[in-house]
Amino acid sequence: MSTEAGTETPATSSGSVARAVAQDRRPAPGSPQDARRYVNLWREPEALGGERTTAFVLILRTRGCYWADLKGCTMCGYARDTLGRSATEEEVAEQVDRALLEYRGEPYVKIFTSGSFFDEREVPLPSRARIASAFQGKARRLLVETLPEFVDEANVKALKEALGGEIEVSLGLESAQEEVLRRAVNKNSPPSAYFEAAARVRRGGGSPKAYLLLKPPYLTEREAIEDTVLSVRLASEHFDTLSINPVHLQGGTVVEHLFRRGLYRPPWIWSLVETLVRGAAERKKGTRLVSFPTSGGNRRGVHNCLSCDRALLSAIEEASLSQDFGPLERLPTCPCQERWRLEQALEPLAPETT
Amino acid sequence: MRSLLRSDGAAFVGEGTVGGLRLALPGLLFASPRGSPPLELPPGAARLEERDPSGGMRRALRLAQGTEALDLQFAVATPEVAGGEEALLEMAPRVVGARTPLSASAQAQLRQGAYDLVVWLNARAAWTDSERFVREAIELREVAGPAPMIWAPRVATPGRLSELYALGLDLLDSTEGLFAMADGAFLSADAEGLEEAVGEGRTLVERGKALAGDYLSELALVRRYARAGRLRELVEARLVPEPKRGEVLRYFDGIGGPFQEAHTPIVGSGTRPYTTKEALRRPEVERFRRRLLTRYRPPPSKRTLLLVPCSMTKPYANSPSHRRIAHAIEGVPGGMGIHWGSVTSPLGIVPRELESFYPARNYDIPVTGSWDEDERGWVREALGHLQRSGSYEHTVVHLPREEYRWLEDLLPPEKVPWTVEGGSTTSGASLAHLASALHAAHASGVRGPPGGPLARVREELRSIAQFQFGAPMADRLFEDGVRLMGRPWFQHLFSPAKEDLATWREEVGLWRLTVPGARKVLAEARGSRVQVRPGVELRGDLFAPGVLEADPELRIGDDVILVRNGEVLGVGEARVPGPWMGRLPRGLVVKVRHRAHGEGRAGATDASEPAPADAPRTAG
Repeated sequence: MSTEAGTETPATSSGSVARAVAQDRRPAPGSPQDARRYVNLWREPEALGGERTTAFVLILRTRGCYWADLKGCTMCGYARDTLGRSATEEEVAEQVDRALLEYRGEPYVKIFTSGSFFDEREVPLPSRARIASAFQGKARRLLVETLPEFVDEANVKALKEALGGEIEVSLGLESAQEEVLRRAVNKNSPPSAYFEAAARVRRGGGSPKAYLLLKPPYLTEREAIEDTVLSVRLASEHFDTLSINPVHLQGGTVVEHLFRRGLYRPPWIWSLVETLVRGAAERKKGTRLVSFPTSGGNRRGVHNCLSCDRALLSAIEEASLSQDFGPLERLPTCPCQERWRLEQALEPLAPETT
Repeated sequence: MRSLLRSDGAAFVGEGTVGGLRLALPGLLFASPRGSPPLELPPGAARLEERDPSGGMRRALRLAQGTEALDLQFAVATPEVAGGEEALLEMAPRVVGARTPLSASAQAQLRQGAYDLVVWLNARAAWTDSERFVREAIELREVAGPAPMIWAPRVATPGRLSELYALGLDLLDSTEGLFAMADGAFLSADAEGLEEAVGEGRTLVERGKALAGDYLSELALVRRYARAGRLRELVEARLVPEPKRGEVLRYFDGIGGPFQEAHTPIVGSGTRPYTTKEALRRPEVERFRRRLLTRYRPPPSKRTLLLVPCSMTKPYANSPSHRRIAHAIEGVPGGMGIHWGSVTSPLGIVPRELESFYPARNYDIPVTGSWDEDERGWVREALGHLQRSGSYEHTVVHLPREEYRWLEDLLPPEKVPWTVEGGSTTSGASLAHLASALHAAHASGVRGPPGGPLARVREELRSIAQFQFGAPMADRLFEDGVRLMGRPWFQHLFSPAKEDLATWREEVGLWRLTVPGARKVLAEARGSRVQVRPGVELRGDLFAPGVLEADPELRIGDDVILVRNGEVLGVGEARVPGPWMGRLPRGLVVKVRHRAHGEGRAGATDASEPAPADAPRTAG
């Protein structure tokens, strides 16, 4: 059958589809002009120490995640937002300077690199302190994301000193089940590596945060809920914050490849609600549980019937900010809830998910 | 494992056994989601249930029938991540899961293994691409062979059942129908797509029950059609509500043509309605057209090609129109040299002597007088072949010009007489034109073969043999001064020593060999032989375990020569397609007609060999 020209992912005989997808999404080395522009920035509601606040979010354009080049995670297409080569110290500095023009003193700053902030191939070592000190005296908390293999106590400590505030280090744990992580997400490290990295963050004086992926490919809706609830329980003693990210479809990923063939549906909002309610009950006391879905209420993100979506997503945001999950147990119902339940009853009757 | 009652194309009517289950085939697994009320199922059906897996990324399913159950346990496959060679997935004893396209190692495993059930794990993924689905369904069956059942999970709705079974899939399930129902679709095969018909106010449970009824009634219909050898008609009738089904059938008739042809009998009875355009590409039709182009040569003494329209009555020669034409041209000198060719859709041109060959006397089509490009192409191809391979000196076209103007470039009216006046081939004027054209053509005298009218009958019967067996074997059968005896509807072929070699009956349209006939043609009989396993005593019919090897060209209804160590053991009629013969575990394979005297018993050499362990049954 014909498919849209240029969007078809070749399944090479030698390697996996995941490998072919990874090769396909990596951009060609960027020009100096590209390297001076950050990918994106925005502000979003957050909570800090129990109080509502606004977070300033910046995505830097760097070389990007090395793992995305080698194998790549099945849901991650951030490699498309990279430079295709390492950025120089000057280039990183210029991106940050441009972003600072937009910065209005938000107390919570989140910096992402489509990879690992602590990987020197992405952010040159001298740039780290420069970035942190740029927010000194303005931001109370700086969040950076990284793979566990790049975390050590000293990194965190140095960053903390440069900022003079709190450092939060987020890790894409995705699932606390080793097999799910390895076979469905295609991560390069087992959950234990993430737990150990979280301990190093704490020893360095930082606050560890983990992302959990709701509904990696190959899992049924029910299996996905159970995986994330279990992950919340297992991870909550290692991390201060757990953020549930329902899969949204990014270009150049295995999940999108499956979605195009009718073999994947992003999770239902009802599943996210159930996961949050059960996860909140099962987590270690004091661990923050949040979810701020990307592309919620859209066919390419977490969605229901598209008519009840908005109300549910606001309730989820409210619960994430207030840490009161009671209201999620008293949501108004929708006829699509029955469809969601039926899907969970029927999906396991086929040997493979679709 | 499948036990055959009868087959219809690649569809298998019979029984399948796996674990303690005995499933009626074609079979359906009734999805029984957790918490749903129990379904009342007919004997031979089974429930499909979810079981708790043993942990990790594993799943478990149960097929349950009465008190019997078969549990399937398996790891969830993540092929896009894993890459590399995929092996078969062990799911239960003698049950494997396969993903298509099959890897080399999966192919090897599937060819060697003795499996009762093969689960086509990614059938639903393949279904999203019609061409791929057809290609891979065929690949899976050809590699797995005829013995195991194949289950294609979560693709069937009631309206799709007939087509999916026709592809050679044995087991389907009702899961997809429940999904569609949850989305509000109305699936009864007879009123599919009429969404307003969804029972307002009916609960899901009630609708689920109604849906199970829809599956059951369609399944019953599939079985009735398949037992009658007419499943294809139901397939065509079910195309309308879903263009996808049209795609799948077109690919099945295209890339699946050889696979279908292998499973299509060489004989048939009754009248087949070729009502839809899809019917014009049925495998028996494609085979007739191809054999005409590859195996057929007009008898050399035919000097005048007479093209006439086909008729609704079959064989055409018995129709009122053809009889009137025949009557009008009686008395034309050298009349035996006239070769009638009936112009027809969808067969192209049917030479008179092939009119009894299936399906030439077994079809009916809608007739409007307008021919589409495909239909014209088939006629033009056949005409070109006849003109090139025949020894015609004249051609006379007794076809209405208005309707057949598209043949004028091949049959220019200034050179070739077109003898129909107005639209009627049987008007007095048309028949008079025809008679005078033939008289004129034959006025200068027509050379015939030496030997007179009998020699011409022999030529015609020989060309039937060529069409049936291919030229080398037919030529061998007719060489060395054979003699014919009999009637126009029943002929015997004798050797000069008065040994009976073969018989031909008009109502079958095929030659049937005797043991001496088989001996005579054996050296050229590539495509007709079944090698009988050493030690097997041929007392009656030949059953599956007695087959050592069979020519893959054999079709159901074909004449079979039973051979062992180069000796003819007997002759008979194939009851399963050649490709199945060496790979079926049980069942009748060849209906034996004659056994060789002194053969069939274990010979001296055979007796010394131990009998095969699988204890062949040969008693008929």
